Amino acid sequence: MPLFDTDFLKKLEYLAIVSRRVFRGQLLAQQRTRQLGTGIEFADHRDYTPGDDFRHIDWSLYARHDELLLKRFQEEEDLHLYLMLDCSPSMGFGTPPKFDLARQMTAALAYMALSNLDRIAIIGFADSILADYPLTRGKAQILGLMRFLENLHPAGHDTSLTAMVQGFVRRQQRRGVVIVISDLFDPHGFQEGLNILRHHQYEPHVLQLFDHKEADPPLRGELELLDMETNTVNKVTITERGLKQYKKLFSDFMEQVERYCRQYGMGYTASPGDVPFDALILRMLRESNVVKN
Amino acid sequence: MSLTSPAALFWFLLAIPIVIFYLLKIRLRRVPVSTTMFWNQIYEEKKPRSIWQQLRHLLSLLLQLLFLALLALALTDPLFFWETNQKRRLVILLDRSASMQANDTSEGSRLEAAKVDIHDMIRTLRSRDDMALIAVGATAEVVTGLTGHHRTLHQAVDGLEPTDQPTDFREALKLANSLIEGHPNGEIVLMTDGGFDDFENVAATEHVVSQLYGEPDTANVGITQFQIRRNLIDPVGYEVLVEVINQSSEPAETRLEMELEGDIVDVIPLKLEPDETWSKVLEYTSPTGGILTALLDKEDALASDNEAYAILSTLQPQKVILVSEGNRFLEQVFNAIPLVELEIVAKQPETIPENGVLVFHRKTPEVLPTGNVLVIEPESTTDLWTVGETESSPLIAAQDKESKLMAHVRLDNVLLSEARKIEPKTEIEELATSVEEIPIYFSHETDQQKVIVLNASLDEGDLPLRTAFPILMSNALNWFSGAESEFLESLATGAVRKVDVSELEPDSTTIDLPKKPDSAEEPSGSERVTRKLTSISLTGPQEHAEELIAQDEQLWLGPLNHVGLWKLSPVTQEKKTETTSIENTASVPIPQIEIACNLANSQESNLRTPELTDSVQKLQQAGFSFSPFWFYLILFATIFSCVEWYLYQRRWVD
Repeated sequence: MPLFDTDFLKKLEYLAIVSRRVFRGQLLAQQRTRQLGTGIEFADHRDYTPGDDFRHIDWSLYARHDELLLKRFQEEEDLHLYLMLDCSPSMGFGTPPKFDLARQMTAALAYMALSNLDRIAIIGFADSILADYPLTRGKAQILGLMRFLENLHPAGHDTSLTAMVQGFVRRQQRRGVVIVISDLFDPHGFQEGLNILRHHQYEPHVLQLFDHKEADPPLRGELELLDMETNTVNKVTITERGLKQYKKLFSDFMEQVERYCRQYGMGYTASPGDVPFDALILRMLRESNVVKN
Repeated sequence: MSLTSPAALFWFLLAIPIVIFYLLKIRLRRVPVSTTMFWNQIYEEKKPRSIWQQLRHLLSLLLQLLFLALLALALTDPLFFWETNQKRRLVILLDRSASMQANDTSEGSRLEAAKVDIHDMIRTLRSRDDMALIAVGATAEVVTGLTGHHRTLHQAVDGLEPTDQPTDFREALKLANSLIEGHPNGEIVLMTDGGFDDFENVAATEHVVSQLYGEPDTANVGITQFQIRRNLIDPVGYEVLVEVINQSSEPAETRLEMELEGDIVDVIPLKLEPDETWSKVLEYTSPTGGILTALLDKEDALASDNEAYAILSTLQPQKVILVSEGNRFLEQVFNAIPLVELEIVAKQPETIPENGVLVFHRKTPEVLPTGNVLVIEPESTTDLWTVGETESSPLIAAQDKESKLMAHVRLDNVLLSEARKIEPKTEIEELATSVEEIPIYFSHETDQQKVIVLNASLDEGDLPLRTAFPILMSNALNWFSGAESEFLESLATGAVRKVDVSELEPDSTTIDLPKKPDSAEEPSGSERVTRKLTSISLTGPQEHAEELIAQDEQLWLGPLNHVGLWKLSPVTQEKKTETTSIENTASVPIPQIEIACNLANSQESNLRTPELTDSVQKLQQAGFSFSPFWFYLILFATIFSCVEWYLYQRRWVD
């Protein structure tokens, strides 16, 4: 079954309309910058100084108060959205694999952004940047983007968010919203990478995916555990007590990620990998401010 | 050690798949996980125990192999050398005397507790073992001979009923010894409460192991003697010998209630000190007789000695015909004797009523009639004696003190006025004789005739004024009636008595059989002796009837099993064929003999179990070896299985 079928595309169109209708003024394509310029939305007045363009003088105000004031407008610009897709082998775990939902979410968010005339870029990463879809604009790019996503597969041998982000921020590019779609199973810790993004004026948002078998693994007895990322094998005897400890550790980890994101004002959404992508998109839009003004 | 089924050793081959599975188990199932970073945090701490982890696997294999080894060994049914030398032979001597009915065990009565133990022993019998069961009371009864069939033994034990008999282990021990004689593994198991004389010696006998039932402090108050007889002086009186014992280390209070045919005769409150025996002869009167019952109003561990029975003979009115011209002394003395129906006539009647007495005063016929005849002061010669001259003031020189006719009578100081010289024509028994050897008082008895003669004048002398006179007459009437033979002794359980059953008038069931069977080769000179065999029905207190055979109207009765009233009655043809209608049967009174049966045994009433000395081998010690070896093998295998499960297989859901 193809990842992006006709049904998927219909849902994308529907999501684009819904998002525009419901979150008008806060959605991706109508972002206001801090620059005042030639936009259509009034910002404030200032005193006229010689040399200013007469077209911006507020003549109505001059008629009432006999005072020359210039109207200033909010300058609007398109948004830069960077979608960071975790392509590490751990994303291939689960039924269905978490990577499937991750790619669908990437495509959906990209389509919504392109529909609102924003610019998007996709960065596939594991221990470093594995694949890169450069900044692009316009709905016409969606098919190429989907082909790009379809050709992506879990690769690499470890997740290192920090290493990838360090490479990302060195690029000469405009700041924007960064959506990290990952399971965050980074043995070096996820905080460092997100901190770097924040410090470089990006607005990170975390979409954490997990599988039910990760939260409650059906494992008992003598086993060899094969780590999909490091490809290492651990012989363990899983007892009820050990399983109990695992569940607690996993739960603590999820709470730690959420607490960290809330602490620094980052959007955070956690979801199992077997939910429909459209439902997850709507949940994201409802629960969090994906993009701030 | 040897093995009963060596072929079962092939089960050890199961070790091969176990080892294979163990090796396969080492190649652990590989499971891909998205990350091991959480698992590493958990099992990092356990790394120091890695050596133990490896040992655990080996221990698991060893436990499983041990489990298999024990099971396989159990299937071979191993026997130790002491078990294989010869098969065991157990003879159970089960005490079912009265004291075993004491309900001071957790199973109820002691007998029930013993039966439970026997069932356990039967279950532990191996296939080659034999067991015999002998129930011991007054006699030894072989319930089952030597057999190894479990069902037969179980049914035999279940069918054992308690009895009220005393205990006598001597015969049973001889029997048991003969059963195990020459058997190296023969064993006699004594299951008793130790309530008999020779217990210590019996229990200490070689090859005997003992198991005691009961408690050493079980208290009991019981009737150990209860007999009744007619008063020798007072014809309507009777004497009761009763004995009550307190077999306890504590004082006891109770009431002894006596009832004659349902009417209360006496209630005696008793306060008994520990181990005190209260014994007394009580005197009452009753002309009717019947069943006298004694009851102790105290519930204790043993019920059968709280009741006792005795039978008081019923007195029949005695017809006395006085042929006299009138003598006030004689009239008064016969009127004073109870149950005497006196009739005074001038002439001799033609017949004497049955059991009646014809009394001649002075005048006598030439030939005395058959039956009971009392002659006072004879004046004429008869067919039994010749009357001579009169002798004045005779002095009594000798009297037969042994005769019942002279019981409680002394004539040596009685003044007699005169007596006739009498020459007896036949054999007489002189009861009192004068100095001149004149028979003053004598008797004569044949099959058809009983005669008593008092050769003394009543009008003169002081004999009628003496207390000896009514006693003398009363003795005479008792002798005529034969009342002294009516004493019906209460039988003790377990005792045997010869009973005359002639009064049961057996009908056509009576058969005459030659002593020796008819045979052509019978020697012509041998004497042919005929025995009369009679069928007698014996009905117990629990209405259970059985048929006995009396020989020549004599029946050997006993030992009886239960306290109460037993009845002997003839086995009629109607009973056998059951063709006669009930109405006809009911219209004819069936003669019967009642026999009272009491426990009357102080040892059986003593329920305090003796302490076993060190010389006695106890059943508990021998009982452990009764469980076959394979039982313990399986027990240990089960334990190891549980240990293995606990260490490696246990799961639970939080």
